[in-house]
Amino acid sequence: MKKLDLLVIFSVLLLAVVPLAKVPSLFYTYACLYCFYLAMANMWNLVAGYAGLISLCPAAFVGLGGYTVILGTWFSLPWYLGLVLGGVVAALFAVLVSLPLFRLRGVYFTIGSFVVPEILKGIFLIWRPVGGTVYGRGAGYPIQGDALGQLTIYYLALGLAFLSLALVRRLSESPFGMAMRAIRDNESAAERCGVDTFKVKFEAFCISALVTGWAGGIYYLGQGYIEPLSGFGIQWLIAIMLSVIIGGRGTIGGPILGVGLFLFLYFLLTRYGELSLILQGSLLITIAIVVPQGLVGMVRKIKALLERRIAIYEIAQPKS
Amino acid sequence: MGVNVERVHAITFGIATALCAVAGVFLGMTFSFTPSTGPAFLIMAFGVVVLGGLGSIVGTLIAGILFGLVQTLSGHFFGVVTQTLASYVMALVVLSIFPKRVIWEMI
Repeated sequence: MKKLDLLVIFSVLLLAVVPLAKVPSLFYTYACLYCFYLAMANMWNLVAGYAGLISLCPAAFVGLGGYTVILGTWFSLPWYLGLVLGGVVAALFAVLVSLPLFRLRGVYFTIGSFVVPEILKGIFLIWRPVGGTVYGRGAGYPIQGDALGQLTIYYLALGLAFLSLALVRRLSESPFGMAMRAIRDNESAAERCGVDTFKVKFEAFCISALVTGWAGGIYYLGQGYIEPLSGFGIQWLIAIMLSVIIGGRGTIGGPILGVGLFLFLYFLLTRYGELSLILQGSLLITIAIVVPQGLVGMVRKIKALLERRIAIYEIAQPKS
Repeated sequence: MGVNVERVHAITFGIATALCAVAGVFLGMTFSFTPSTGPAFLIMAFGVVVLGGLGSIVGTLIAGILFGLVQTLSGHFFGVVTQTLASYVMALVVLSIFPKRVIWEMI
């Protein structure tokens, strides 16, 4: 794992100095998208992969973060304050919904959390917090004032992706991470062993909401426009879940690989239009059947096979 | 125990799919539909099953009626836009008040 840490730090530094060279602006688009999805996938991995809470409401936090930033500019709030506030609003909302949601267990929790972004979408389709011209359906708002440069968004996204990686790394190694894994494997057993399950689940959920809210805020700062159907849309959930599950749930390398493959497939297949969905779906099902443990599981399996081969070979060699 | 798990899973899935297809036929006869209308019904079906209690047939029936009533009544009193919103809020509230007991056991 030490090697992976160095690799991550090295690649972040490399990405940070890339703007010194002249690169096409398309590169920033891809890199920013990768960073947004990586931050969100990491946070979903923290909740679903480590703590075993299959929550289906990251879209709610993305949308709330985005709405806070965009609406903040309407109240002449500087964008950085709005951004920080966006994460805080998402986390506060997580506190609010965790009160009813954490009374539910297993599938009931999953479905209960699935309803949350739908409720928010419904509210924002009806409620218009500030006036102005109507764009699209419901509360669609453009950013007020100057939009940020691509480079600023790029650095923000990169910083957030690094933050989320460091957070998952630190948390998974700490006693908190042990408690989360204990809850994932057997909640009642963990509770009987003295783990405060509510507290651990609650904290993991709120941390994930905070960072997901920031990711949504930066994304919509870059986008410059938000509307309820995209902010609370199901496409966030699908992207995040697919990347984490393809990559490998409950591992640090999982989201890094998974988001990469997801975005690669996404951009590779967009030119095929309607066909792309079919292709993407069948590819993903194939991956799920062939390597149920995700890409990280596959790498581990191959490693183990190679090691065994080497071990057998060494045994077979007569000792001189 | 001698149960062929894969076979039972396959048959269950087949029955469920066939019944869904029949429901789809009736839906197509009543409402307009496009290839992307599926998820809206899926979310509602999730809500109904969870509200009724997984594995409970009567609970699902009651929850389905409740869902439909809440949608229609909220549509009538608060306007069409609140229809889905009202049913989701209802599902979340009921689930958080009675987290473990299913509707069938409540009655």
